[in-house]
Amino acid sequence: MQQVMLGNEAMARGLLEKGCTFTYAYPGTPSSEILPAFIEQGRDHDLTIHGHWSVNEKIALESAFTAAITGMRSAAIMKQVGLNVAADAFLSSAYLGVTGALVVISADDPGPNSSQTEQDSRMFAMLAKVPVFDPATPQEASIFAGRALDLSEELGLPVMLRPTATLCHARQNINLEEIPKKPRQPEFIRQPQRWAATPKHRFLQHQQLNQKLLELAADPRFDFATKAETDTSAPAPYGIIASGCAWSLTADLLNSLPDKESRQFTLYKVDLPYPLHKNAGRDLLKRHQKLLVIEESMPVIEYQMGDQKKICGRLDGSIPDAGALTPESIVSALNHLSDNRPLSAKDKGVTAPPGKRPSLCPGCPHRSSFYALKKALPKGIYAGDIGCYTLGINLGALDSCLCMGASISQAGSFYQTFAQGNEEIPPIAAIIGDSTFYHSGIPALVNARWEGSRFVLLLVDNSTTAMTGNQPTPAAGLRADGSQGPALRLETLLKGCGIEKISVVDPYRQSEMIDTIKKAWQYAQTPEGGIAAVIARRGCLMIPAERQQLETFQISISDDDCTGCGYCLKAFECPALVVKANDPENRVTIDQVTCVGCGQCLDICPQGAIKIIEN
Amino acid sequence: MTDCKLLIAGLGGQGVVFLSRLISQAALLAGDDFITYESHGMAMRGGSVTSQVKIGNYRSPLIALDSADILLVLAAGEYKRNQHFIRTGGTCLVNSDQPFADLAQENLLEATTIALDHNLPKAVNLVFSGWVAQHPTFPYSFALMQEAVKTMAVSPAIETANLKALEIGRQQY
Repeated sequence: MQQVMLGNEAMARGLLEKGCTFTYAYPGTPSSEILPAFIEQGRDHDLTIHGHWSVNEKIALESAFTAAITGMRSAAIMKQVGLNVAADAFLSSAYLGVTGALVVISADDPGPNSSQTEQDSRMFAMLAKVPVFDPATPQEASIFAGRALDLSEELGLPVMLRPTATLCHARQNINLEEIPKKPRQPEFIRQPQRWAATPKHRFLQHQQLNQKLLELAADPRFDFATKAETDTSAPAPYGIIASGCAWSLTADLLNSLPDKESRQFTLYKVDLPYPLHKNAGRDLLKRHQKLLVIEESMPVIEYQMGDQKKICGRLDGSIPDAGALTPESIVSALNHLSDNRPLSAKDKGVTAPPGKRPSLCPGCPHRSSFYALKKALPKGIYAGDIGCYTLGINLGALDSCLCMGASISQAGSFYQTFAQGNEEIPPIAAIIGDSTFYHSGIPALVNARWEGSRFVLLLVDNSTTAMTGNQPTPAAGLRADGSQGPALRLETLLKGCGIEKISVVDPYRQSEMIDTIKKAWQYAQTPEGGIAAVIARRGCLMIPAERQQLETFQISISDDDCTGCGYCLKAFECPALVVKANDPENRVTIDQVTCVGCGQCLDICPQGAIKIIEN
Repeated sequence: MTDCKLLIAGLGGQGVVFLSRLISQAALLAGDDFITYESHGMAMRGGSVTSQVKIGNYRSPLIALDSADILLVLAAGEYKRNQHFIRTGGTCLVNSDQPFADLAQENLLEATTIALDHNLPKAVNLVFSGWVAQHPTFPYSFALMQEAVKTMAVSPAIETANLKALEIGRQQY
């Protein structure tokens, strides 16, 4: 049996085929589709499984780890920067180990396409001393998900599966294996000296971990170097060592070369980049004149290779040290290796015009929130956060974005720094979405309130995790599997964090929204003030029910009234507001294909040129 | 065994991903191996998007510069950004109401205008694919694309609408 699957769906399938019954995840591109696929496929096969959107990645990993110390098979799923959030649990879990199986899937985003950093989760695995698989295709990702579970249980250690975006969102025909039906029974063997190890026991656990890694580095199943010894022909002058998507890209490129050229290279595929098999350095350095290591996105294999004189890769600049690997950069590195041609890291001097930047969707309530924020606090400092609303930067309504939940800490600290100076304190606002608030905004808010900071907390509540594909949040209580849990309302949480001034507004009511934000900042400055929360509440239009409920208008721009000033494009930046083609005055018109008819642009135009069509 | 590398370019929300899935569905029906890549996340919010479809014996979905056999462009503005991917002798088909100095008129279709004229504003990509499927260098027949549309439709109403859009596109060739 075969089925066409996304890489992410293939990994979910691989987990199910090897008896994984617990998955915990926090959504994040490129990993977001794994958990829903796990739940859906499990349901299709009538399995007793548990899949849950955890509030953040640390909690996801702690939960999956706990299932794995009761003998169950589990997975914690996140994007690479989510692993930073989960780091404490991740590193500690390597010492404690598991009795069942724990796979940590951390999806990397070289480029980056949709992330703050290009970090390599394999480097994190090396830091944590956790073995890591690097799959090269969706098919292999499905198989490796299962191998990772098996290896985890065999070694009694967590194991990482590290896909990159290219694999997560690649689609191909996947071979399907049987999914076991027989559920395991949980068993927790009380061993406080292990599961609650004190530093003395931690030292012993560290030694045991080191021993397991030494044995794994000598395990013939992961020996990619010696395998080729059966080949009696003379070795190619150059060896290429690659893993994951870097391997598949290189393999395709070598296949496209004429035989005369491709014969110069032997390509080795690494399934387990850490711990690297011990024969790699010894055998390959002897066999080839030079070695080129191709991997994403950091030199994990390369660092483990030993003798650096014969090795090319990221450390000597053969492969660019930033950005996603391109076929061109690999070709350049191959030519440099075999013909000593100069490296042309910049892709053949192509001068492609810049692409269209992403912007908030037509009708997005965040756009209206940002517009109101700028009107209410025009000289303000806007501390932003991670989500669709990071695109507020396009509207000039976002001054900072560090990481998940940082808007609140940053707003608090902006206040504290200005309070130390002599000048008037500028208006300060933190802008954070509902899902990000649950993720890591709550501790930051407790801290800011305790510290006595003063700012407007603009909670842009669209009742969903929109950027990653509309996963539910605890606000409505709906869970990943569609079941209903208790609704954990933002208002209640805000009160619990010590916030006394809370207003709820519909961002589509612009004048009310502007007024509320102004009053919130005034309150924040009063002696009894501090943090004033404004919940801008309106559902994301990507949710079909929200779209159906939307009151719509047919909007048009009068050519006679539009002066082509471009104010609406800059201040509101709705994709449905477009410059007329071939118009010498650059007047703006409504793109009726993209316009959703929300009517939020009606009051924007200084000339009043945007109108409802009278039918 | 078909061997064809297609790059599909457009803007987030235009149905670039759908079009790549449609073509890979046709590949599946034809019994061909394939691997595709889709843009997700931040890139989906109306920004520039590409999907890549490699049909044949490939491991990576990524297409090198100068190597695509077919470039399909759903938003005219994306043509210049992606034309470097097309190999010498490759085919480039663009949804555009504007001419391009380096493209023959027969490589252009005003798919958006046509879709709007037929009151199918959300089916620009299908009108475009109906036309594309008629092109001699496109690897699959119009009939196979019809089959692909049928297998992918989630409801009879969507199937009817999508087949209609595909047919409108075919008539433009």
